[in-house]
Amino acid sequence: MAQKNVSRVLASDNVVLDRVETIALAPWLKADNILWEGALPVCAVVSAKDAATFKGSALARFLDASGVEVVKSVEAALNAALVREKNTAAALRAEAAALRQDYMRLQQSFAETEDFLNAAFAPTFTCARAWEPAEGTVSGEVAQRLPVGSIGLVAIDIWATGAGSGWLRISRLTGPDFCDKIALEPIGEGWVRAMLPLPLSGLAEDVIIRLEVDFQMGLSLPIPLEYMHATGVKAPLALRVWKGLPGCRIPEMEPRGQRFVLPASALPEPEVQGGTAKLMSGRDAYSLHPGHDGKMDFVFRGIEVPSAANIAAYTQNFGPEPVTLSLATTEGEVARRNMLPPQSHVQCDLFVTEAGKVDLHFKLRAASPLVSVFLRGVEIIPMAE
Amino acid sequence: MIAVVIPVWHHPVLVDEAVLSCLAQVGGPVAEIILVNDGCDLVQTRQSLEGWAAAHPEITLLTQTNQGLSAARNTGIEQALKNPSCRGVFFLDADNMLDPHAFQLFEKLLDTEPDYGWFYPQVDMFGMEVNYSNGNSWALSRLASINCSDAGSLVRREVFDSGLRFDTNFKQGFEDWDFWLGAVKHGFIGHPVIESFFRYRKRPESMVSGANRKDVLLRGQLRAKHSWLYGTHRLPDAWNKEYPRFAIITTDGRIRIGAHPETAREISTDEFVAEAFHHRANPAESRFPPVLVFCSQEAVDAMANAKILDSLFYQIEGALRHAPVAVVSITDGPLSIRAHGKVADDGTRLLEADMIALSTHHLNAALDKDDMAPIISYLIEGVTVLPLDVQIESPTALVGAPMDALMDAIGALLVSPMASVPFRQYANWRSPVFAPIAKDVATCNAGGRPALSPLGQGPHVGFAIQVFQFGGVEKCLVALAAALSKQGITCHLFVYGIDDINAADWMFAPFEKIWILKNAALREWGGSRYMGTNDAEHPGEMLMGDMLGPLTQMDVVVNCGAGVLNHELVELRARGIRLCSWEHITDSTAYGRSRGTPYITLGYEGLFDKVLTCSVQLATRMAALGVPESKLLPLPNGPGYEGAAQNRSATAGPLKVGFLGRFDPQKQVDRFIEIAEALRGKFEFSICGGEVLGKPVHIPDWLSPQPPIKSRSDLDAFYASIDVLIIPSRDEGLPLTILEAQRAGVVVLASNVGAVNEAITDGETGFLLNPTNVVPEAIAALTRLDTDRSQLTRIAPKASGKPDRWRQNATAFIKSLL
Repeated sequence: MAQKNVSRVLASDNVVLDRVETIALAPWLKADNILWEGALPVCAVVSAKDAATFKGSALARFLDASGVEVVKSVEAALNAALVREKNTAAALRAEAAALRQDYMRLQQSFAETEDFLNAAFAPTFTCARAWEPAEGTVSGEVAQRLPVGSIGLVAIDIWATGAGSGWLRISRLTGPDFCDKIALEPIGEGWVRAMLPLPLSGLAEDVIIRLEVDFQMGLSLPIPLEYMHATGVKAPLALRVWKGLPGCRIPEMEPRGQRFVLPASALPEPEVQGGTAKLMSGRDAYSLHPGHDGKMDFVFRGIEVPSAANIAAYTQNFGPEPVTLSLATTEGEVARRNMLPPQSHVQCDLFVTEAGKVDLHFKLRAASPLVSVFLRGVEIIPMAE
Repeated sequence: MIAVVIPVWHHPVLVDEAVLSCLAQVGGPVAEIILVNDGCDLVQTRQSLEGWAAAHPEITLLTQTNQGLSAARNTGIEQALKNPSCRGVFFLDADNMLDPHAFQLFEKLLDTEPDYGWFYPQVDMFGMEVNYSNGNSWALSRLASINCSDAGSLVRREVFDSGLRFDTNFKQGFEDWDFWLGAVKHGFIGHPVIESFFRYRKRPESMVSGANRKDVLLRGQLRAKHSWLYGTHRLPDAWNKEYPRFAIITTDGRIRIGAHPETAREISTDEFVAEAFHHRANPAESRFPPVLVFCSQEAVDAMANAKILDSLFYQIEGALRHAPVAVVSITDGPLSIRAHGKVADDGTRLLEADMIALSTHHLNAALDKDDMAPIISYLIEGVTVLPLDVQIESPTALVGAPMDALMDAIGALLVSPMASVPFRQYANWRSPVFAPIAKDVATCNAGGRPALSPLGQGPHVGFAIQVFQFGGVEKCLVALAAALSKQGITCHLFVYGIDDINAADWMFAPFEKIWILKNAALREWGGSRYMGTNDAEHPGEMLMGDMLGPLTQMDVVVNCGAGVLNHELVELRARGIRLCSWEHITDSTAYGRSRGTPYITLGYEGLFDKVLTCSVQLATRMAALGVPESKLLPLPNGPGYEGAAQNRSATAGPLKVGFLGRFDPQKQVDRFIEIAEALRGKFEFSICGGEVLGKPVHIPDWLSPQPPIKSRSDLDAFYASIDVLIIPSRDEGLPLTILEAQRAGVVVLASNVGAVNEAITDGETGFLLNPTNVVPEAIAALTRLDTDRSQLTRIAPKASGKPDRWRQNATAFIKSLL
């Protein structure tokens, strides 16, 4: 890399210096506003004739006046030392800047982790967006923007209508992909999961997914937002976008399509008695508040269970008081009770013996109405055959 | 190649990250990185910048005495422009950063988006982490309302070649906002980049935080400098073009969206549905109108024919500030638009309405329901509506029911597959930057929502009046407007009061548009007293804004007694609109003290460019009371409507003597009755008028009073039926009745008050009566005329042959004000 001369010296007309570049002093003595290109001179060597003018000039204020008394004989050594020191300093500054950025990213990741711990449900991942399959399919090379930022992005489910193979890239609109391309190998109709090695971290960026597949991918309902259409059609792909804690992975779909999570937004609207259950779309959770007597009953009807399975409801008690939450598939059944201690995440389990549609009856009991409980979703884990 | 200009002051450490982010670019064009040390007094800054410049040949370091951010950027610009291959400059503040692919993106933008002068980022903040959208589409009215274009933008060389630089007078902030507005003035537009590439370090102490605290001051500075935008129609016109205000869905199945029903763009039902759901999904980025109007095309046409289409839609828009639904009923009657207080409705009013207006917000709330039945129920049952009653003369039959159009539109929305889409799933991850709404634009438009469409070429004069009926002041206004129209001036009528408009069709003819605002608050004269006359009360900001908004389109506003306007005329004056007050008369109290609007005008004299008077006499009086002579423009009255001069032959039989005017203390009908009683049997007396103000007056049955006249033909017939007209008034200006009677060949006997003597030369063109001795002098004069009928034929032609005053007045008006 070319090294610039960093040791220019301002000098009066009658001063002659042999080993350093000099710049005429005289024009600067009269200047009011000083605009200087490049590094400032290391010193000014001023003749007796110019000394008086120099003291009162803007230049004297512009430069460090103490540099005037540099001795002619040390100029060469000074120059060499200065070059070395400046190079060293520049390298150190670059390292320091990189370290600061790393530190900021670390801070950010910690903050995100804390956010998830405080707000996300126990499995450490959440379905950030979900678009169910509707009519139509596409295949081949397809791209589509996502309305989510990159932070925490950990997996994307694609709806395949049949077997095949292909690749998914998670990209920036301009610039390199966020990660290596991910293989997709659906074996039949259903969701196929493209999982990143780790959730994306760093500063939030726009995301576009690019697919190259030989199978048909389901489309969701048409929408008027053109910038979110899949290539060549007026609808987005049927997708589920998952986000997770930095450093965590979400479960594989093995065998695909059997073990799955129904986030709150994918559950049917509950029938509620004695309180309120409000879907908070930003957090993908139901916020549960019992009635004045501290009680509420609610039921999600028609949950499809593919086989005998364990059903786990993920809950979080924000309040200072313990809460009891019981879960059953039949109204009036002796339900399995779960104690939700204050400030806790709790997984409430239930076993279902056969396939079919089940109703999930919840009973929430608290000592007072002043409790706040989130229901973040239900995971259905089929029993091995 | 491109240049990145990094001005540095007091960021000796963070600037390292900014520089590093430039040096770490992957791909993209060659870049010159220009560091401008803006006289930073920290040694560390100097050491840092010199180190970077020494180590990297692509970095240029400039150091200057401290001159502020604008000057530092300008220094960088000059350096960048020295290189003829520099295509654009990016401004990176010392504490911000670029993503590694930014230069690649810059090259792509410069190559593929030739129509744009600059490219501005999404506002992705770090430190205090927040992400704001830049709006994702260009709109001048948005940029005028909010600084949505961060300084961290890429600016094409051509912008600088046009001479534009940062204004060094903006030292406290908003210098970038000022720069973008300057670019627009130079003919450039910006392009919001819809992907992340720029990182804004948000710290609580940042300069913009300070700027927000000084927001009012800085916005004032900005608006003053860019008066080409904020002080003219440029901003309202841009807003009207960029953000449609209405969707007009007519019973014939047509759908139009735009700011004005007659210029709105027609769209298909599919487009309407897509736009509506786009709005549901992403309201800040959609251009879907906030008001939906369902009506027949005939209703629109009828309003246009009555010249009140703009006014009605303006009021509909205003009504939806108070209620989610407005209903309009159109009936036969004197021209009127009247808004009532909002009421709860069970659907009856909507079913019977001639026009239905819904706010889009209300529609969206309804669409949150699942099915047609609950949606319709939410929309129309138990909803709060604001009724607007419109009266026009002989309305045509309306075709189709607005309710059917509403149902069709809802049906189209519900059968769309988009109706099933959970739109919240598509919410943008960045916080929206809100679209400018009427209130934002009103702030820069004298506090009022803008009118609905730009006006045509040529000067526009607005006449504001409180009552518009068949009165003298109104006829003067109409006569002047007609004369101005003949000389190429477009006139508009603004009736801001409480009374019904009760005027003949010909009185509306000179006006291009008629704006009506009916509200009791506009006729409250209970304000503070100035020189013994009570001022009008301020009607409140919203109502005042509704009055001023459309007036901002005028070149000249003539206030003909709409007292409430005076309170905020300064807003119009600030926009360069010339202002006049037009004075006609002072009144007297029961004790004889003079009062009236001329005194109020004295109180606001500083605001007016001209004070018009109906007579020379009143101008002289206003001058005596303190109005500078240069501001006075006498426009002596002529006849209040057009007509030919009449010559009469000598009459035989009893002389016919008439009275024409209000039965009130000012007109002194009592004196006329006294004269008639004294001469009963010798003359034929007729009396025409009605009680308007004051106590009831007893008119003897034998006089057979005729009702007030409200048409030109009836006036002509009345004048033709008499030989002599008596005007025994206590106070007068320069009455049109005298001038019209004279033109009709009638000899006038008038009390010598006000400026009556400007219309009558005693014994030459009529007879003046001593105001303190009216009855005896009138009896004597009538007796003389009866015995010497030749006086009638001598006087009448002299009085009727006067020149056309209104043409002269219009010429004088134009010369003085346009």
